Amino acid sequence: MLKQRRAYGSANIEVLVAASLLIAVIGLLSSMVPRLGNVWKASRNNQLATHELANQLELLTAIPELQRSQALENLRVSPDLTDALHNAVLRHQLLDDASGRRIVLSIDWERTVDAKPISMVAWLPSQKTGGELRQESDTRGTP
Amino acid sequence: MKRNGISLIETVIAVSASSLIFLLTIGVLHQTMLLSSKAKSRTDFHQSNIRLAKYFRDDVHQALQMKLADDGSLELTLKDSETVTYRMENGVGSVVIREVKSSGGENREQEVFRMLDTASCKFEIQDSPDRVTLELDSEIPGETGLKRVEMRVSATANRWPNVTAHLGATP
Repeated sequence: MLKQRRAYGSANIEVLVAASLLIAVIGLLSSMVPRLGNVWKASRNNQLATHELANQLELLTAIPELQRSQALENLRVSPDLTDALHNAVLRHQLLDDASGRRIVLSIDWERTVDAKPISMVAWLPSQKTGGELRQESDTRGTP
Repeated sequence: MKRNGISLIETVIAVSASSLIFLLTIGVLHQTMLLSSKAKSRTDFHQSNIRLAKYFRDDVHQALQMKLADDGSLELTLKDSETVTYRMENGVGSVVIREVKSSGGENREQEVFRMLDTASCKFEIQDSPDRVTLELDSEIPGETGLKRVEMRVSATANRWPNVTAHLGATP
């Protein structure tokens, strides 16, 4: 009766497969490092943009009507943020309908991936305008 | 004749290859742990920022008077002569401290907001309408002296009386 021989140790091919797998995993993890950095940067910029919208609306809702229309015409992104939010654009809509009189402010800037602009709404004290009012404007962040 | 066992050169190659892979793995593990720690610290800082922004806006909205001290701290006087002070302390780590004192000068509340080690904080008072801006900056990693804005919050003082006036009588 023939006795079957059992192979001890590992064949070259097994070592090669294990090494390839390990290197693939290391490569995958390494490629995630810059991606993580980009995600952090994007999250930081989103926070900055949200605060900027809140700051602008805070001012727009605190000033009198006449000054407000002037401020809306001269809407600019704060100069301190132009480094972080490249070519940031602020757009506004002044709406007066069944949902109330309000300003919709949105901000968009150059990003590496396509993303929707961030918007924020602030309600204004009601004013009899005799119909639906809608104004739109687009202003560049850099003076 | 079939050769049994492994030669010295084979052993040396196998050990070298294993060591190389082991070192690479350790390097990746170390990087992952470092990144994880950085991510955690960033998340804490982010949450602390959001909390600070909320407190700051609420306090400024109720403020009747605002004053910038020589050390760069901000003092807000609220109703009933209650004062809220915001100041930055750079010790072991950077923190922004919010202190609420009663009219008698007794400490009523103290909140500590942890910041990045390289963070700096400045307040700016503007008028028409009266408002304060809080700006948090931090050093760009790897570039000494260069700063970037981490957060910029602006709030209008004595806001609630204006709002109640617009809304009319409130219960």
